[in-house]
Amino acid sequence: MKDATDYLAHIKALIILNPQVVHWTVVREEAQGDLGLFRYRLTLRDGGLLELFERFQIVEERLQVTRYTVFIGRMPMVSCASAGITRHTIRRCQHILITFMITRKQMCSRTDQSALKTSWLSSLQKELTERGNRNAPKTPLRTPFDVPRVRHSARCLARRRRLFSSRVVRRPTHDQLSRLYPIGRTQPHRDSLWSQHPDTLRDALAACFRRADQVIHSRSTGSRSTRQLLGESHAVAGDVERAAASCDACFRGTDML
Amino acid sequence: MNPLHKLEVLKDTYPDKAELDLVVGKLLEVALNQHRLRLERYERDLRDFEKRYGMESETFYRRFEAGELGDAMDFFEWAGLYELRRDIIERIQRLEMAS
Repeated sequence: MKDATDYLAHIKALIILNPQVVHWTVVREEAQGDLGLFRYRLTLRDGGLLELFERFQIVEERLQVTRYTVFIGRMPMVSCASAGITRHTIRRCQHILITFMITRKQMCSRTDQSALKTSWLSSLQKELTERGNRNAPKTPLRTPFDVPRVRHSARCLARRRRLFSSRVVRRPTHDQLSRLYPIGRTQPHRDSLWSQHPDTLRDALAACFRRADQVIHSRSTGSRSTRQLLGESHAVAGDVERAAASCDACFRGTDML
Repeated sequence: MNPLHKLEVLKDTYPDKAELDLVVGKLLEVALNQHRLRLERYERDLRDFEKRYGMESETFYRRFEAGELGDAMDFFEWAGLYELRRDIIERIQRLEMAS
């Protein structure tokens, strides 16, 4: 990491490329030389909400996170729609999402991806075991998205039905998923792509964001002529097209397999 | 080209110290203006937080650091902004001394 802008570009690329994220908004984002902070609000594939905050510093090209917090919520879709409100029930602790966050952080600060994958899977396994999940897998998980399905007892399920009968958020159906993800590129497919080609996609997108940030910055300070800005905007668009092309190439490559 | 090399080129281009001082002074002024604009934005956002929670930023920061206010996401953002503001004030002071 060279500076705060570099790190923010990196994070944004990771968010966009993560198949769990379907939508995200920037609440705040500041880069001040080697200091910076961000607050992003993410909507996840399962309808969950994830809000992240980090205050960080880049010291000698190394990332130091000085403050860090995350809130995880689940949107009660049915009750919100019927009551016409936008209130979200904020809850902490969803083991898989906490682990997802840890992964994201590790991916930002570590270069050894294979070691990271192993450590993440083992931490997920540890987390499941520590939370008293009797169904935690005894054998190591094989891929980052190979998440064990939790089996609840009948009593627990009945209690959950009573509590959440009107606002249960169901797992998306195949039809819903195929609307989110184009035909022929199903979610598990993308998951495996993400685990196989994270570097190429992430770096391409990070480069795009860096360029975009530069253009936006020069626009806000008024230090460039309109002609230059226009040229740079086209260059950014070119970068985005190239990144999209490299993504498509990756997808096509595995489709053929 | 490395920015330090660019400065070296600038130094070679203006052998007269007074001229070089003028050029560098203008650069510092640009940086100072950028920092002041940023400071204004931070202060505006801090005022918004102060209005929303009915508390001065200094008081908030002291209480937040002491762990009296909990872990609301807004508080993290507020504290982060406060720290960035403090940092930019130091940078502005350094720039003012240099220019």
